[in-house]
Amino acid sequence: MTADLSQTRAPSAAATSKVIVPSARERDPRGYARRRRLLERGLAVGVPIALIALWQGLASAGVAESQYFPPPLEIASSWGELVSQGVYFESVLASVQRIALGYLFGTLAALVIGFAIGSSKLARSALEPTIAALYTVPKLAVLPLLLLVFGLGETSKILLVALTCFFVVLINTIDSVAGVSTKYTDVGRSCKASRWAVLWHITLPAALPQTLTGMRIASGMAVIVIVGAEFVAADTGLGFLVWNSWNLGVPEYMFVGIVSISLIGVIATALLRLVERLLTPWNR
Amino acid sequence: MRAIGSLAVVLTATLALAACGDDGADAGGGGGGDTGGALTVGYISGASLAPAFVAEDLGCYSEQGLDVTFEPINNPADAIAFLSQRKIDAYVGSPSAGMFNQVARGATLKLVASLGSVNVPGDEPAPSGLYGGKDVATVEDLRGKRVASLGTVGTATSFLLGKALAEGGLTFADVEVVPLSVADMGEALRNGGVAAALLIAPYTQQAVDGGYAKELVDSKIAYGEETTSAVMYGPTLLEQDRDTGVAYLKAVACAAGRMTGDWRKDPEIVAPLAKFMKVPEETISGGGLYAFDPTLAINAGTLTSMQEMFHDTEGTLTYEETLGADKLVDDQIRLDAIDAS
Repeated sequence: MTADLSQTRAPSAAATSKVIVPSARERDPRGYARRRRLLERGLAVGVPIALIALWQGLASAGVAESQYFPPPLEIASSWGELVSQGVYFESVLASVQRIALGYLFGTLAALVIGFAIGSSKLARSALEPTIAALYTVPKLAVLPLLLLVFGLGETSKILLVALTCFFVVLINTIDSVAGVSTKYTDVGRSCKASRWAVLWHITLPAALPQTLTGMRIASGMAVIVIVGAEFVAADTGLGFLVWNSWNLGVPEYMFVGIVSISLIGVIATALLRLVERLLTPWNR
Repeated sequence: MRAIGSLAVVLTATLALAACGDDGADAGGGGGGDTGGALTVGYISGASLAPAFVAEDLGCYSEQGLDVTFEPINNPADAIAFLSQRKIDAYVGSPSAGMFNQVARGATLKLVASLGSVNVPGDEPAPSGLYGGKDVATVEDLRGKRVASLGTVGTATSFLLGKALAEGGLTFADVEVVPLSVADMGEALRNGGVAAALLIAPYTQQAVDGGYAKELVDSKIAYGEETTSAVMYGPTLLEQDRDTGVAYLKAVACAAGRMTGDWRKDPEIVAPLAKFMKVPEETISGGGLYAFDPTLAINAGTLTSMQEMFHDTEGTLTYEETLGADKLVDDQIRLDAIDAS
């Protein structure tokens, strides 16, 4: 490797020569990868910090309108106020509880039903049009009906999240199960594997990546829908915090709520990516 | 980590653009200068604000040389933001804790006229009030129970709820206030989801006729002289173009002058009002009656009462000292309008 790798092409004495020097990536691939990783992580952290600093600078200079767009430092201070008042964790807990319970109920039901429907062509023919129709119904539009049937308590909000997650996971699960190549299942059957063994050792691992993608998408939708529900039919939760703060003309509290909602979405996505990595190591 | 970074970038960039941009893209007449008689008026729909809505059909706006564009507002807080940022020139709606908080922070917006009051003459019932479900006989029965209100504590409706609760010696701390849309209140009363609700016409009559709600207090007594229906101006009409502000109130006063007595029997009022509010004419003619004072006199005491009540609910107002009328009201525009009329 230390030998001179440069090459000289000399088709003729008068012709120009071109020296090909190995790049840093070629000379030290591990070091290059490490530096590249550091750069990417630095940018991931540095760019938002720079933008927040820019926002703060514009607000301090009076360029940005601060009545409704408070500077980041003011938002941070308000964050502290909400924490010390106990309002913040109460709001986070209320929203997270609704999201977690709704997500669990909706996802588990969708997985079971999705595997059953995905495994049967007849069931798919019978149910897929109905599922497609129900999937496109905006779930927030059915909130008044849920409130009517289940009252103003937690049940209606948890069910709304469950319904939202259910259809996303269901459609992905059906598709992923139905999409498993018959070559794989034929091999299993040729080896005299039982129906259960085929499902457990072949269909499930093959369908898992797409199913998990559906579950990840559903987690984001769960956050969106609960915030919408808390806007109109709750007196706790981050959605309520955002809505009420806007109504009361306290936008810095509203921003605390907005950022927190985003963070919950990011954390949920990160957790599910971790689950994906653990459950589908072959898919990295 | 990459996901957090991307999210922060998008969020911050969006906010930075929104915060810096569009100062000049103001409401029709706005723009920080002379409106030339072209006004953009944000409004919340309701019969208590009727004179502003029928003034066009009665010829009051054209008489003043005004070209008024109405913009519907779904949430009073939006109106306060639009008004202070000159996206609208005037707002026909109600004051709220959001307005008080923004004025306390230095926003330029003031109440310039009052509109409908529930103090209708004779035996005519008040068009809004506190109504209880089947298990509730008195206001005192509501202690520890859920009571529906249009919006949380801090809205004008919640103020009226607070006044009604006070008739039974209760405050917001004694009940659980549940924010609900007016349309959902009837069903919530019927299925026991809430023990009581502050109903507004025409839902008041529907609930009584349906037999699932009864009046708990006489609203005329509970509300007294308070009126929360109002016209508010932002910086354009308060500072740059007061003449147009005066002209607008002259037009509203002109319409209010036509609405004395039982205006629900006047087809020249009912038809345009129903058209504006997009409801059947019967809803107006058979709905609640509001009283209108042609002088549009402001009850500054209502603003003080509202602040005092909201101060008692922690987290509703962000300042300590009650704001005086001088900070919340500009009465000179109305006086000029009435004098000129």
